Amino acid sequence: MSFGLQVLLLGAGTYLFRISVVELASTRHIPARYEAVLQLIPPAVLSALVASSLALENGSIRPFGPWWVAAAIATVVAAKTKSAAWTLAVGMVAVWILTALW
Amino acid sequence: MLLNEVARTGLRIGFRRCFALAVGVVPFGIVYGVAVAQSSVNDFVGFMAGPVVFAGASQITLLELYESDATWYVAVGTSLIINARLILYSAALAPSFQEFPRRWRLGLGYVMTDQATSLSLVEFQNQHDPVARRWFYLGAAATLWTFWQVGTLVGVLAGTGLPDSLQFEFIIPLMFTALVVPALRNRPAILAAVVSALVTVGTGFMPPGTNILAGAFAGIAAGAGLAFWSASPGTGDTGVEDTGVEDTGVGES
Repeated sequence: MSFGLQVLLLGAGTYLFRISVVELASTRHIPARYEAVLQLIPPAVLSALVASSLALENGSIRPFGPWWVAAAIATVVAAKTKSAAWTLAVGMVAVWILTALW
Repeated sequence: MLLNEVARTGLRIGFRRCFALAVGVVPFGIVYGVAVAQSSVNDFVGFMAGPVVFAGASQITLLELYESDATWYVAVGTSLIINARLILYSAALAPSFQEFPRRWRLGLGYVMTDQATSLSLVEFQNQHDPVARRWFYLGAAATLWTFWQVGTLVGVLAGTGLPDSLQFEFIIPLMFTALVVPALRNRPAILAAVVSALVTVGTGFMPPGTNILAGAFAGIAAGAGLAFWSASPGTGDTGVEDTGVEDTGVGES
């Protein structure tokens, strides 16, 4: 199958994922207790994405080094400033400096 | 004036909140574009995966698998598993999207990403007007969409990537850190994040994407368990909604 057709299939499937629950639940009443569970989705998914991109390297744990320290610094910046711009900027500068010094 | 005040304000705030993150995805658009340029795939078809799929990690995976001659259903299936977290985002956004007209839901669904979802859910804590909400989401999502396509285009046209010494892969954990920290608003959320991270790492040997789903589900279960356990019995209310850390720690004292 050509790459173009595979792209169309992936695009269609991904779009269905995106609208799936939104459309299924569109006319239903969502009880408060379920909403409370739904609010846990972003912290859980995003934390999994941080863990897999930071702590894992080709399936095994990334050795302690500049990435770990720079990520810790970025976490503090994110908590203090709540700003993505500062988190990205300080994090990148930190990893460059730490890599040079390590 | 084409748009009213609420619409313009929503778009502007959405754009502003997303701008740094959108700049951050450009290097990955370039990575994907360069991979297209260096592959056997036609440049235009490769570029069009951006507007058609609009999910970077899965686009890169699909291209890699295609180039390594994987069977089509393995290539598409693996890429879909990477995108399966969007079903969870769809659930997380469902309560707020309920208030939107159908054509808005279907349109905004197309630009659903990690960034637009998490920025919006944080914004929606303080913004309850459905009209302002949908324009905010659109402002954030459209910003990300534009930068992603531009990055891809640059990569396809340039054909060579950014030097490895710049360590642009580090933007990925940084971006998710910037998104997750504001979402840690109470103890169940913090527990969900911690459990999710531990399970994701612990299941790192599993196929790409599946460990993230395993971690996310474990985290949600743990957070929900804590939320229900610390809710006062008999009320049926979790006590989590719109409360701070101090209000949810009932069971601790």
